[in-house]
Amino acid sequence: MNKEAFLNRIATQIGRPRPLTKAPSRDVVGIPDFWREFNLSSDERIVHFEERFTGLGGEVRVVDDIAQLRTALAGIMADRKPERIGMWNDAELEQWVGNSLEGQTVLKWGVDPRDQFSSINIGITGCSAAVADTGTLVLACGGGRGRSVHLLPSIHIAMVGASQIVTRLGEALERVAKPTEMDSYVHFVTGPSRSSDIENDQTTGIHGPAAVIAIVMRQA
Amino acid sequence: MNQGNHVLDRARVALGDDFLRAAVRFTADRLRTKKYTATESLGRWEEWRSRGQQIRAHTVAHLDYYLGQFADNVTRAGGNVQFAADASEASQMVLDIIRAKQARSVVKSKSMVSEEIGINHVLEAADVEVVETDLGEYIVQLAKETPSHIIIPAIHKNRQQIKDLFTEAGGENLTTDTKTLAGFARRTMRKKFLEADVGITGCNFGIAESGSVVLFTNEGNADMVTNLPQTHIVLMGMERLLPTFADLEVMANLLPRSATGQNITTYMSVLTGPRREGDHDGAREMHIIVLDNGRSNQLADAKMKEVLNCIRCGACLNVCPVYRQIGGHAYGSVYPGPIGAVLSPVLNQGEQYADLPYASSLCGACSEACPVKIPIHDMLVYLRQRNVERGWVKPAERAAFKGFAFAFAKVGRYKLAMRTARIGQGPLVRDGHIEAKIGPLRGWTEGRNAPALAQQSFREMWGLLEQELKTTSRESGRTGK
Repeated sequence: MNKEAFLNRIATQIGRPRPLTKAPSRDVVGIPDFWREFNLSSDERIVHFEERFTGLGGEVRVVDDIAQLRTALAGIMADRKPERIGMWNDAELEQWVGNSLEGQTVLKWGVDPRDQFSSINIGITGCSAAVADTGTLVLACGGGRGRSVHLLPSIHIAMVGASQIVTRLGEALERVAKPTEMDSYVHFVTGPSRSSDIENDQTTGIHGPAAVIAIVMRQA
Repeated sequence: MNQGNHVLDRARVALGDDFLRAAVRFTADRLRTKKYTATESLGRWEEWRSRGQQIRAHTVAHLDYYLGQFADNVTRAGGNVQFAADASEASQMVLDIIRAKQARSVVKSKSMVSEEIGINHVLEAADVEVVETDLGEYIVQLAKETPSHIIIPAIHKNRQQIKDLFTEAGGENLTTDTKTLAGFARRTMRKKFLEADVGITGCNFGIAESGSVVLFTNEGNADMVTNLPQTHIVLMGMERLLPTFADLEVMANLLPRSATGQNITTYMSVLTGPRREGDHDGAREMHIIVLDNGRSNQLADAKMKEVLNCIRCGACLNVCPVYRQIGGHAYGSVYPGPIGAVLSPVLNQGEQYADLPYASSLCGACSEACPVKIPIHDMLVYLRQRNVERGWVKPAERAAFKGFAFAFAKVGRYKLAMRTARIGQGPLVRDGHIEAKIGPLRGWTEGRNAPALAQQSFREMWGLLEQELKTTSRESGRTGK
């Protein structure tokens, strides 16, 4: 069926001679007002994010500055001993990470061959925003910010600047979901991949990462 | 399902399966409790529900506009949109894309619309490998069955059965341990994802203002399905739209809480067209197939159009006393539970699912659970009325109601009928009730005793009662009360 006929059929059933071409007026759009008034202070946002993210099986490290961030990252590497690390090709992320991955095999997205990323153990990304209310990382992917970097490995580490944490999901949507200028893939990630399909028994890492670690830096 | 043609026959089969009943009850209870906790902690749930209802009603009432806007924006983002009038047209469209791509293998993530159009059979018949990648759907597919719950498809399978199915599918040295079984699924699927030519997903919401497709998932399989193969096909019901991202925030609060009691699902993926210039992964082509299949007919029916507001959360299943006893398969339809009992008969022409509206006690728990306030139990009554108007009732039932109408139309006939019945019931009455499981009485007496007709009816007592009433009111008048 062609589009015109399809839309005409809908219009007829609704009781219009032809499909509407002007945006209909609306009484209400989006969330109720009381929810719009929900606003956490910057300190509360970090606390909420940590609480929610951890509650769903994620790990959070809150650090003050870049030096601490690098120490934390190097510490995770020493613990997990990855064979291969994949990372966004992103100037800011690179600056944050600095020399903390020295001695590791690090693949850069868009620089190293794509098929090698199917064997990375750890994927390191930045983020576009994080949501305190739900404990969510927002990853807008495109160019050097490859989708596979955080989808394929069993461990995902995301760098979060404290100022990137917003209170509500809607605020994050306003940042990354601008109808005419958004990335083709925006991923909202809340904790590790999970399933309860076997006798209601919850298990993590069924398809996506089994561990998700957010390093939150206060001075950013 | 070869379990009989009527919901009653299938229900009887389900009632004999103790494991199924225990599993369904356990899962439904768990989801219901989690939903309660999640909505309580959010607070002002009724206001959220009202907002959800307003947004869905507005969208459906202006579907012609929003669907047009959505399609234009998908095209602008580099995607391709097609419109299918019915299931067979949609299947053909999928098949055409797959042939054009010379695809041999397809990975799928959970989609009710794909079940509705039966795409797996169509593809298998065309010699294309189709793999369900949601863990529950994969189990159901290996067992060659259909999902028994909208959200948790394989609740009717135990871990031993799952282990056997996975072993048959090539798993070696598996145990019944969840981690081991899940590990096998992960390894198997990962290979399939990387090798597949085409990925098929459903669509939780299409955003009209951007042409985005939004998916709510927990396992992450949908993200593999949409991003790893070169071609991504989206199957969506035509009503699955929201005008703006601002509206998505409302649904993101309503849907996961109602479905699984989560504040939000692990993943919410927003896809706007295929990969762009300069992207190194993501599908190169995105095809969206918009399906009508009986939906537009509901728009003209004031009593039914709200069924299109449904966001497929499954909350009505978890609270339904009938679903909790018989599980999903007894409904014999892709869509089970209260919402399935409404959707199945209206999405399909003819009498096939006309029995489902009777699989309800009309208690209204479904309507109360619905996050967008669909009056499901009113619709079930309406569909029963419609069955009568269309003559889709058993001859005995029709005769019974004809008799009822005849007897109750005139007081003389009514009195006569009561007198006759009182005499007729004589041999059946024991201690003031009837236990005999005979004739049309059986449906009642199999589960409980039927009360016998009183020796004197209210009408017959009325003369005396009226007298008494007058006396009492005179007395109370005298004492000044």
